[in-house]
Amino acid sequence: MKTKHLLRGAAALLAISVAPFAFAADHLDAPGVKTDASTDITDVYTWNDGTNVALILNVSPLAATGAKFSNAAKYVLHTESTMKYGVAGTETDIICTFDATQKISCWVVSGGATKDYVTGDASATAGIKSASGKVQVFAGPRDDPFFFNLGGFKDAEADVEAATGVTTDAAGCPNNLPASTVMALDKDLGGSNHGTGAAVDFFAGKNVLSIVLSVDKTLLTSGGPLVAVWGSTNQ
Amino acid sequence: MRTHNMKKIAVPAVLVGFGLSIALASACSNGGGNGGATTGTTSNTVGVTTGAMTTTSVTTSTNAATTTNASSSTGMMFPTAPTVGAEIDRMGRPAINTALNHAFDATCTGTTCAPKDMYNQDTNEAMWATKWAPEFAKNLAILDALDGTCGNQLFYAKPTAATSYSTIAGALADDRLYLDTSTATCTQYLGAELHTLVPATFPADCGGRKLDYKVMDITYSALAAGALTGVSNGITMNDATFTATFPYEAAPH
Repeated sequence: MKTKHLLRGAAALLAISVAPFAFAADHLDAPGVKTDASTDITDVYTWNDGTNVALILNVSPLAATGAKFSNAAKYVLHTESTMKYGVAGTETDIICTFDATQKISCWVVSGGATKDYVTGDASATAGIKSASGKVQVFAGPRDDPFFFNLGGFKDAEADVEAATGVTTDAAGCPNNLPASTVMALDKDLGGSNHGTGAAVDFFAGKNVLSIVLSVDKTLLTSGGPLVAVWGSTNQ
Repeated sequence: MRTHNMKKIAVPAVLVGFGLSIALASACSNGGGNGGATTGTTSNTVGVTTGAMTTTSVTTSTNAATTTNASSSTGMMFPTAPTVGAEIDRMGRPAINTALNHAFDATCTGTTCAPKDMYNQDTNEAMWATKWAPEFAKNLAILDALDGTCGNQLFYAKPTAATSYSTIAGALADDRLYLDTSTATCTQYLGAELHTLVPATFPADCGGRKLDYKVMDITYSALAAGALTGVSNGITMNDATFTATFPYEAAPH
């Protein structure tokens, strides 16, 4: 893929180009994750569902029929519960693995102790529950829930690329884009074919492999009600 | 900055400084969370047997922090949790590694992009903000221009200077979704952080990230125009319908 210049200004100050990695949620975000789609995270979600917390870790962008989770990797949802933003809290991780038959096993681990555990075939929509009933998990292919007009962003990139004489202010912001470019950008971002067509959801009709968890709040809030969440895939 | 729109954010300088400090404090607070204080529970008996897992009565109260079978507060014995190895990918908020890490420079060309792999493999959570905020600030500066106006990004610090994007860069480099489990209302992506930073402007919200949050419109708007709405990518909902009940996501195509 050729290197495109986003802002090929006359000013030598700027040598901005567009990286050949998707401007998406986290799909195809780096070279290292492209070697194995099953460990390429696409999205992480979390919200309150009654007395439970819903947690989702999605992988395998543009998953084909028959795509499988890795049976060599760990899929981890990291949480830290605190009393308030900026205050140290208690870490609780949910670590999931798969065997070759795609049977899942998930451990809820905090402070070196396993708090709950669930294992089995979680591919039916009801998933499976731990013995305590506090952890419910589904694992399998789902519609990719991410939605974004990727083409519109690419059009915007192209229009900024075409602008000349662009310089930046003291904070690094390109502050003299031509008025024609600014007007084009406004149309680009929310449409297709440089604003002449309607926006297109690049992720429509696409699937991912999804780990969906519903976890009793008490397992995740021992340090307080504010929970910070991130996902990872690990060896 | 225009102020006629109620959604526009005018953050006093003192709050901007506050925001940065607590964002950094938050990111630096994660290193010592695990004290290895495993607590065995005395004389709990749970008479449940499921599948291959047999529950037992646990009577030890001095369970060491090891990787052997750990007892839970319910007295159940579980298989040993696996050891987590080197990190392959990580993600908290959407469009962070994709949009804020060498998104607009020649570092990443062809199939090469060492910094994006480094970001994914960086397990030193306590240093995330320190390590990645400077790079994020460079990308945030370019995204600020998408609406044709510089200096109107969320939490932009005036006057225009090399540090103008530092506050939001630090907050985003603490790359985690914040969920307030004590707040029933869940309507706003970034809601928990925003309510903490500027409570007068943003009502309490559980934040987190629900499936239907318009995260890309909010990201565009916040980074280009300093608002939570106003700059749309034209796609405001998923192609398939989500469900309110487990497993929430739509069936595969």
